[in-house]
Amino acid sequence: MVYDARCMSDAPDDFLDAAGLLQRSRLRPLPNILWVGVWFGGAAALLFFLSHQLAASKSLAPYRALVQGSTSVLMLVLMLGMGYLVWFGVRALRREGQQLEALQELVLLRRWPEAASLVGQLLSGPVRLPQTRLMGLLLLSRILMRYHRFSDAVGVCDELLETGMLDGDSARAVRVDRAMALLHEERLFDADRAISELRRGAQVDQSGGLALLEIYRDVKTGHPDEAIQTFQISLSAMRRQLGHALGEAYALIACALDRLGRPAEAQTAFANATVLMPLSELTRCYGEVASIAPAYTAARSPLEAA
Amino acid sequence: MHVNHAIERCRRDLRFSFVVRSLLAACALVLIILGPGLGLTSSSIVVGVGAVWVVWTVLNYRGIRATRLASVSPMLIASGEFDQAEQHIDQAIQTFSALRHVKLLALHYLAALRHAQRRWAEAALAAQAVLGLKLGRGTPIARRTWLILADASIEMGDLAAAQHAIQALYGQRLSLPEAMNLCLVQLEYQARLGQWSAMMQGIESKVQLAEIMAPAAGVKTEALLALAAAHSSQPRWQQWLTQRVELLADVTELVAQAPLLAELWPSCPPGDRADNRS
Repeated sequence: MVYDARCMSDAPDDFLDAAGLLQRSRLRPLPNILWVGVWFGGAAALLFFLSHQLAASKSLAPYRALVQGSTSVLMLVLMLGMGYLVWFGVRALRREGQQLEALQELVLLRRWPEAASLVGQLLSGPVRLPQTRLMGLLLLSRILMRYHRFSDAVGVCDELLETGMLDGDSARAVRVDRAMALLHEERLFDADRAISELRRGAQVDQSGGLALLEIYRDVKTGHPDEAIQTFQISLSAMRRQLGHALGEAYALIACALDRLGRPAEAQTAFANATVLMPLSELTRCYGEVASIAPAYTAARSPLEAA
Repeated sequence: MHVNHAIERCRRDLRFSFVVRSLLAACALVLIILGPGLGLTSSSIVVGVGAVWVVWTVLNYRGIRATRLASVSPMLIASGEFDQAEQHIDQAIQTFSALRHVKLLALHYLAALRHAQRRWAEAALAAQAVLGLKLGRGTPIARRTWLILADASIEMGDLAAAQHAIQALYGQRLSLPEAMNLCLVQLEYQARLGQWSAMMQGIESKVQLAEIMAPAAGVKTEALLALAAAHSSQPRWQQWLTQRVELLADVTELVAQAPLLAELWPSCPPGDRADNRS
């Protein structure tokens, strides 16, 4: 497994036990609505029966008003009890939802240590809603990839795909992430098979994620010409879908051009890459970029230039 | 579905559902508190309260079903399947529910749909209707609706309404997506007014926000910041941001969508926006 010392240095040994989180986050069995109905229905029926018997009993005639009053109170208690149970359940669900929302924000803001800590909290016990677990696992896989825990990330992606609950686009995004993790893990055969499966679903010129994946595979396996070709035909889709992550594609193309001995063009691609993304982030993500970085000049943001 | 009809329908249903809810609550209370005093037997009180409970549950169930129906629409809107989203919203609006939030949610999604369809006037109308239903200032629906209203107002050229909507969001605790949305809306508003120095304030954090926005919104944000940099004599920022935009988007398309940006790329013709002002 390839670990990057720079990003793992601040992580403790037991940091994000992915297998444990997968196991422990299995859904909390919800109280079956049928049984709740049976319990409350049964209690109401019993109340009805008792009140009817007591009202009909001649020996209790002097206490009729008391019987009726206590029946009303019991009915009220029953209804309030049910209301409390619903309120308690809703509050727990809301708390879980808030945790998930905070986690999504932390991942978006790239505050990785805090995101890792929160995902650990969220998934360390049974989760109430399947959607929350799916989203939590999706974010866990992103965090694991950020910390170069590619093998664990593949495991999490597999679990996500096995649930069969992801919609088409989400399943596709998970498959792209999984294939990327496999490539980083140097499991080239598995990665190639994953890419072929992805290709069956979409054309490379329509999917920015798939294009980036193919470019990385071609750079990694020493096929720079193919990488450049893929870049050219899918640039439009990558622009639309990847946003600033297009910098990764430019950086990989710089590697491909460098390998083909075209340093001037490689310099342009390298400068484009570093206009879109910080060099530190690019070299952290791709060892290939780190190896060519000393030979080229990175673009400087106005803050660095100041 | 016409927005005016949808608003009327929602208002009528909200009034009716208020009456139904009040009646049910009154029935239950009368049965429980006054029942023994009125000479009702305990069994008839239990049956009466049970009947109220069943009616309440059935109405809530219909409400939950309608909520589920409407809740699919944000995903459909995001994937550009506007017709399907409209069907879902229409069904949610037509279904009677005792729950108030069902109608609010459906109307809010209708505003979001019209906004995505760039039917600004209708989006603003639906948003104003949602906000007129006393949502409570800090609720997520209210915040998102103010954002829709602000953007639609800017697109219609009604800058006073846009300013009112933006001000309504000041001081509220926004989620990250809402903060990103507000950042873009505010930049557009300030660009129309030529408030370039205000746009340049905190430019580093605005650029950071742009980097995590959806690609189209991120590019537009950086293009507006580049414009502000050009007007504020900040050539380094202008050059860097312009370069980013050119790498990330087709500037001709961008200028066609936001003619204000033609200043940065004079060779690109601004698009005809008349169709967007419906």
